[in-house]
Amino acid sequence: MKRLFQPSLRSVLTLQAGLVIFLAVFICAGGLFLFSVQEEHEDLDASLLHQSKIIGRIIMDERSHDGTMILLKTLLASERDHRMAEIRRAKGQITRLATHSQVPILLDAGLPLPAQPYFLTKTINGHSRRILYSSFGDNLIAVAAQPESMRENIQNVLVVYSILTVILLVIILSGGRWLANAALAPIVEMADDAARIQNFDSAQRLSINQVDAELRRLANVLNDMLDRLHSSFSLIRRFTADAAHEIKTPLTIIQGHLESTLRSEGFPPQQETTLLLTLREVERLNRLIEGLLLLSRSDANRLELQCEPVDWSELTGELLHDADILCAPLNLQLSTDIDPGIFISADRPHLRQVLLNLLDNACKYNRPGGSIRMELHSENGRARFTIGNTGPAIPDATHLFERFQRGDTSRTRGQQDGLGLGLSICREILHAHGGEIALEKSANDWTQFTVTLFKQTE
Amino acid sequence: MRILLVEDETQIASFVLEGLQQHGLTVEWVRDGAEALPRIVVGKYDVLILDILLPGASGLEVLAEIRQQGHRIPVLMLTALASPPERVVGLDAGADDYLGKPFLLEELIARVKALGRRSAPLETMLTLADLSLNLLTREVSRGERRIEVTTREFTLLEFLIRCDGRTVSRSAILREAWKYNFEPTTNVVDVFIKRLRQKIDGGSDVKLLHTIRHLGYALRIES
Repeated sequence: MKRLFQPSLRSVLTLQAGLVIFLAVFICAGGLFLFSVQEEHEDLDASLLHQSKIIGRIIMDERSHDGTMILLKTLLASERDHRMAEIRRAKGQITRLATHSQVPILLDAGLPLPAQPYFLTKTINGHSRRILYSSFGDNLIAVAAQPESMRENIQNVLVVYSILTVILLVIILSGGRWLANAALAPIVEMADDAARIQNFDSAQRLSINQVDAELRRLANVLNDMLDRLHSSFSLIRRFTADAAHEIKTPLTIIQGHLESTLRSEGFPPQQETTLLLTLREVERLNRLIEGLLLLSRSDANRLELQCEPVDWSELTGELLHDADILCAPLNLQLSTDIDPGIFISADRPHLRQVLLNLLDNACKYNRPGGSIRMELHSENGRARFTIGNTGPAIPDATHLFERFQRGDTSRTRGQQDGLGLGLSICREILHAHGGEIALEKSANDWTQFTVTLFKQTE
Repeated sequence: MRILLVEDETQIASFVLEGLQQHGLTVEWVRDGAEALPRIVVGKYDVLILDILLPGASGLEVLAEIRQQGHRIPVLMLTALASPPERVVGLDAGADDYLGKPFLLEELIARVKALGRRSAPLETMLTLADLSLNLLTREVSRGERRIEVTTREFTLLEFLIRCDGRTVSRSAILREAWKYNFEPTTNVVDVFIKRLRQKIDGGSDVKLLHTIRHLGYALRIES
């Protein structure tokens, strides 16, 4: 399935960095918060224990009741967490002390004296309290605090923390984008450089001077690849030249000998046919080599075009003379519809070769007394040439433009020595021009090809 | 006419030499480009036949050197590299004609002779028997009879007359009349010639345009 949304590497990097940092901050803050809560708890318990010891000592050393009360109240007021205390004397008298108006009930007459001090968390009047029960002699002392009031502080800290986290996230995302841009800039630059090296033939390479170590490796790898491409392209170019020379030299010699034998006096006429057939095959071989050389040049991107403004309408008009000549033996009817003044940028001999090849096919695969129609129109900045002919349909058109494909052999009607390269040569030539060739239709006694090329821009 | 042939392939050189000599031309042969250069400077050659892929200096280098030294000797490039862009390179380097391998010996001779005549004053009329071509008005006539021909037919007639009755191959005709370096597999040339023959020989007893079986065509008076 095709991915509809493809985020840029830069956005992905930014988001990932943001997420990682955000998670780190969140975990740290959470841990810190839990740690603080735990600490607060332990501190509170220690403080309660400490106060209960002081209270116990004060009671044991009690001189005057009022003095003791003032002392105890002062002691409790020194803490801000709503401290309170209740004392049950040995005689059963209960004293309640609190720093605020509400007077809780922490103990009653029936509560036994604890052997060891113990803590209790209890909800009284809707507030959670931490209470420490301890005994001093026969006195039972309960000291309580309301930790919520302290937890408010922590909650404030938490709110500040959250706001800071959001601000941090914004900074991380925008900073991350900037960082990603900065980190990717050399890669973008390298891609631009690589795109500029279109001709693998040139000695142009990626610059490795102002590049970081990691990217230098990439640049080196790419440059090595370009080197290898360069050498293989040179090899192919050399090959086409060498192959042309190596194959054509013996052909020239064969043809030369055949020709001089045919011309020599006293040559037995019975052998003439054999020699003439051989000569014909030499010519055929030569055409085949020319075609293969063109294709191998095109494969190596070495099809050199000498493009110039060409009046395609006029060129098609010239073709009509050839069409007349070609149509005559089969008594074919030729009709045309050619828009005048359609200019394209093209290599004239190559384009003529394509057109003549198509015309040649339209005659060759026609039926006697059939017809050919050629049209040239301009549409949406493109020039469109169609050539159609009567005659049997192409049975298997899937590989029509591939090398050595000739459709069905029955189409060749025996006497045609087509090389099976014509259409693939046409296609390569048109591709080199940035154009297209297609089989538009082949059925019901009508086969039609379309050639499309971009019109010359003014 | 004195000709210098620069060709590294012995077998090709031998039949070219033989053929040219049979036609009364004086030919000297060297194997490589480096050897060719001093010869041209000294010798008085009328035409140079130059291969491109040569040991020593390449044909194109030799040509460039010749032109740089100011020699105006007509040069015919004889080479396996005969695609249109390569022709352009050769002609740009200063070649006067270009013949791709393999070739018909007759065609080579015709072209060499045509090149040798270049130094001669400009002709205005070409004639063969009672056929005449006016190169200025581009009119063709056979005796008193005026013949209407197309531009392509005129170009081909001129080429055939200049070939002095030698056989010209179908591919040569395509190159001359269509400026086209590719052979269609149909009989476009044959039909073209058939029409031309009707125009030229239609009303005359003496036939001039002959089919040389499988080799090509020739314009000549047959004895």
